[in-house]
Amino acid sequence: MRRRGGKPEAFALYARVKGAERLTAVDAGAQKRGLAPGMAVADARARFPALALAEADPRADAALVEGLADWSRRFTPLAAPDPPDGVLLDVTGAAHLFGGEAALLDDIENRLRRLGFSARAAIAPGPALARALARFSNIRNVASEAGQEELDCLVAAFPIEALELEGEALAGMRRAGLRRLGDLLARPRGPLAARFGKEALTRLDALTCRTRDPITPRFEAPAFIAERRFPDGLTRQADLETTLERLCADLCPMLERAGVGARRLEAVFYRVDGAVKRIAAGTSRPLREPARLAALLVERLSAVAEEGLDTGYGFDVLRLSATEVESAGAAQTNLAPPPRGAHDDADLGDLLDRLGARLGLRRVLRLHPEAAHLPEFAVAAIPAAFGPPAPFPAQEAMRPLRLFERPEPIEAIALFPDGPPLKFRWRRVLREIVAFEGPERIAPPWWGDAPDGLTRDYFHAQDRDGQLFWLFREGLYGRETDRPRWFVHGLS
Amino acid sequence: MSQGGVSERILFLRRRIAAIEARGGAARESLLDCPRHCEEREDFLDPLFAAGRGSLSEVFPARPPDAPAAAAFALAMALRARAARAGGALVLIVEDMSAREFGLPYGRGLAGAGVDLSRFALVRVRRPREALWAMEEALKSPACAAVVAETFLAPRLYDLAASRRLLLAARRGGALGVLAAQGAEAARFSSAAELRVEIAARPAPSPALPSARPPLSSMAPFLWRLRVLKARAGLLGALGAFDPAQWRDIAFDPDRVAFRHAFPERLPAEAPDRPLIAPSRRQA
Repeated sequence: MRRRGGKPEAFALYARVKGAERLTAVDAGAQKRGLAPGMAVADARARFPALALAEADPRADAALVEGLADWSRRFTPLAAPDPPDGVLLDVTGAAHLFGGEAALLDDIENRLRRLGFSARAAIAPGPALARALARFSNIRNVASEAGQEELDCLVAAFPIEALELEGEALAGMRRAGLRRLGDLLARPRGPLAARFGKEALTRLDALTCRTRDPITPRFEAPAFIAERRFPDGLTRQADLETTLERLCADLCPMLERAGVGARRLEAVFYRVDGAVKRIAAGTSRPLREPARLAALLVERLSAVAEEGLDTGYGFDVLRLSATEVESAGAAQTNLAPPPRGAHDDADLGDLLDRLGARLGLRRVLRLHPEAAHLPEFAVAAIPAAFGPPAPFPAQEAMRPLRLFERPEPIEAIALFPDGPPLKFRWRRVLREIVAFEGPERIAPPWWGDAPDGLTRDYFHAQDRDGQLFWLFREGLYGRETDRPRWFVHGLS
Repeated sequence: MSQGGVSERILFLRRRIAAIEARGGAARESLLDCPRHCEEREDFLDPLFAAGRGSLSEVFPARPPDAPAAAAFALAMALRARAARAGGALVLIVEDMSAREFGLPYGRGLAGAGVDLSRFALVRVRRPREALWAMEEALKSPACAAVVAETFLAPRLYDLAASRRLLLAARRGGALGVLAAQGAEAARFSSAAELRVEIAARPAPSPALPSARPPLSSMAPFLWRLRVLKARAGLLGALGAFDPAQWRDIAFDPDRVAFRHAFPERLPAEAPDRPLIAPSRRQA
């Protein structure tokens, strides 16, 4: 399953294995000319000089498979990459949406072919069997109600490579003359396990669907999903926005029935050519009004569109899911409009959600008090989505209105090493202090991680122009350091 | 308090008395007398904060280093507007560039200035365009009593149309919008804002002796020098009520949440063992 390049006659990928360059994958043209994975590059070139070669990139392959797994979430929310070259889908209860299992398989194969992949799809009662069917058999669809004997019969025809064992066990089976899985099934299990390892029997049980491995999806399936499909891709932003509004209208009754509200929404756009785009919006309280949810998503969409929403040939599947929900009681509806200001908290929440949807949730902050003495830790700026802050404790000490994210070093002159500053140079300008207040001594927490931190002496200072600074000297002269350093920590 | 401070107080009181006498004596004041009268009115900004009346103001720093002072004045205006509307929220929009230049608003300082942080949000934006967008959204919202945006504006971005949008949004939401432009010259902008003021930090009174440095009063962050560059007709009184070239001192009282004259009400405690005017310095 590889993307085809620019149509050379034969194409292969190679990798360095123990110092030798060996083919790792070949295309149909190369296969016809007798090339196979594992062959040395020099031999392959000798057989077919026009062979086009490229170095294998396992990381890109893995990313491609993950992208395909994302793409195949258009068929079912439970999709997992199956390295190195497969994708597993749990289509239980989803096949009828695509006109039955056979139609679903056709749909998947056709779409992948159009994207430039040669792929084989198969449906089976267990993931291991489906995996083997796609690789070693022409049968595509095994009904879920097939009996155990039927399955055994089917599996018996597979070559032992279908077990995907490595090294000694596989070689041992070949030496023992075992060619097909039927040879294994016909023999007693005990000696087989003793000779080839337990792994062989585990794999065999998985293949015959005696045990079923769970499919671990790449993303957890959200509980609330609404989606719309279109025969042609949508390209206009207005169409996308309208669709989002309709999806919200579909989603909200589900949320209401479950008695929850959405805290986080994710809209996924599946592009016709296989690319997948997603936008997410968070809310500061559980919401289930379609108009409000839609407004958030539309806001986010237009923010993304400003940076360039690459619509390409258009999006043909749009899916909206509530990825995080929280319980929310039913709201009382009033006949009379509420008085102005009655919904202030809700209004502020709406505003902050809308700002967060556009600017990013981390840019809309509320300031929470923290029990800390060091000024930079006394306030925490926390995204508004986490809720309103606790009330600030009353404080006596004067604090500046603005604080630098990190204190800026200055050169300061003081009469005494432990006295108040006279002049200082900040941002290349010399400032003379005409009035000051201080010092206020703030010691670092000795119980904390850095008990040997330096004590700070803070001063409020005003320069000749009237500008106000909050300065501090780090380190007590003579006791902690011989060269105390000065910083500007804030302005007001 | 130094000698300079005392004489300043006496001068101030004399001017107040003169103003009160002028007001009481001549009821039929002519418009020409008004500037003198307005000069002494400390509540001349009050019409701006009438409840439910949305408006847009601009605050420009006189010089680039005055930007923190201008931002503090914008905050004081927002506090005053919030006092007129109980329960309203205050939204402060700060551009990243401004945060790098002058620091981020500090919660403890804001709480000390009287900001109710449970009804406060800080919005950080990357670009001036985002700041204007966020400001418009916040002004439109019925939750906000006041919105302050601190941003480095360009005249190309903030023109008549953009400011008109903001003004209409403010009218719709009934909020006060204050745009604290930084690093910009007021004369280069034309806008629909109702009030434009220029703010400078108020220098401390110079001490009698260079070596005697007075203690910094806790009011210092709330003292400014202000110049009204532009006001919509009728907003601050009759036409010609203010002189665009005239600087006046103004202060904000965080306890009363009101603007007032810059006369220091809360003086630092004076040392009881020291005469008000040292005899030896009388000639100095």
